[in-house]
Amino acid sequence: MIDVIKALDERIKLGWMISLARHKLVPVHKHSVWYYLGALLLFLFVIQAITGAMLLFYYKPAAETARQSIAEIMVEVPYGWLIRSVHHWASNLMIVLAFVHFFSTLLVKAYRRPRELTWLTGMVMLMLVLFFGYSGYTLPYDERSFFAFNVGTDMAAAVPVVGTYLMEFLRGGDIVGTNTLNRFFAFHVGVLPLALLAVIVVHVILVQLHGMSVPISVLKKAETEKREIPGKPMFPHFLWHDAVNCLLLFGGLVTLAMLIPSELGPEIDLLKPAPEGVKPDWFFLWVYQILKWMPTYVLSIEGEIAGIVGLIGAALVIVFAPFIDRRAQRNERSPLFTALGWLALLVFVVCSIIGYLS
Amino acid sequence: MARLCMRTILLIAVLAVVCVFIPGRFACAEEAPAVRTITVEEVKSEGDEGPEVITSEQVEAARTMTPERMYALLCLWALIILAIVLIRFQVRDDEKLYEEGYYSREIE
Repeated sequence: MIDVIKALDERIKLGWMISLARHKLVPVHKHSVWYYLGALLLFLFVIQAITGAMLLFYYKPAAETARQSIAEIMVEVPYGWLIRSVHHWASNLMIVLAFVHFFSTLLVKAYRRPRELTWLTGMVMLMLVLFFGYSGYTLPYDERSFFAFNVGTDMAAAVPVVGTYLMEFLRGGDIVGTNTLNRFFAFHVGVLPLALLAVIVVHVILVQLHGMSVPISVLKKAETEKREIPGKPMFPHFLWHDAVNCLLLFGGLVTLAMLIPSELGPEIDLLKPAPEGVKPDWFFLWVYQILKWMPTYVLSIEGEIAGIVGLIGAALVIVFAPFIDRRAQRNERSPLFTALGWLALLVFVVCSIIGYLS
Repeated sequence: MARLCMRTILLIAVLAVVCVFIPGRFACAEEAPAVRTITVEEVKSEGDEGPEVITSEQVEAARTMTPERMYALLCLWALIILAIVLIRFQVRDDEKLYEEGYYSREIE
């Protein structure tokens, strides 16, 4: 092993990377647990890329063949049911961890100077991951996917000014059909992976450049006690811990995939009316529930449009938090943004639960 | 210690492959049907039937947990736990090296 490392070092100068990792210290404090989420997300992305590529060999993206090809993957392809289920559960876990990473970063104010760009790339990644989840949900082209296509693209139509254009662009025409499936397939296997990979590279470089952010409370406490915050080298300490976390996550993922394999809904029957209570996938339930609560009109504006404008506004406040939260930029406590963060988390959790139960 | 760990992990990986996949049923292990000549009529009639449609019952059957799958899952967890124990040993070793100041030295 050591010989291999030496040989690689001679050829591609591996030494500087190891040296960098050894000298890079990760702060150790009571909130250090949140530092592990990034590596777990990266691990899930790799799993998604591998299982997605495997599914790509058998999936046929056309309205007539998509559902049948998924059934073939489940029944005829060796371990096809397992690969599809791992892909399904990894996508769900990726969204869960992306949300946890987002809320933890927001609440510990990790977006403070000089990490504004890291935060912005993280927000882009969260949106890409959500769109990834939605586009993947529609690909089986069964009854559930068909209505998800309709509900999702209808929601896009409610966006002010560009709504109709956006809906037609996503659908590839006026109605949901093969064109829509082809577009979402192109997004899912072409556009989104490339975009996400590019943003991940920038995000990881920025994280390496600036190091891990230390919460304001820990900084203040260390200042008061006049001591330095202890740190441990990234390599090998944190990498070994990451390895343990990834192993546990992998075990959990395979367990979920084996105990609750992903389903395949019935075929689309265009003559059948939409079933009652059609809902989006769990990660959009909160949006669905908020829009459901909106009255028909708000100040003579259509309720759905007002709701979407409100949600976009709230999202913009969060996205641009590093530039609005001036107190955090000065490394001072900012209770207003802490309260906003907790409120956002509360709205997300409560609305999702109500949306699921209703 | 690191070399020993790597070798142990490799050994475990090989054992894992043996434990998990040997009990599984392989298509290649099944007895091949006897060779016979297919008539043109048979080929034509198969072509007329179109591709075989997989039913919802078949999909549900593919999703069902079997004792073989449960065994494979338990083997996987046993391996994960073993790997974690080995990593813990490695971490302990690294902690000692760190305290001795090994990681602050430049790489030769």
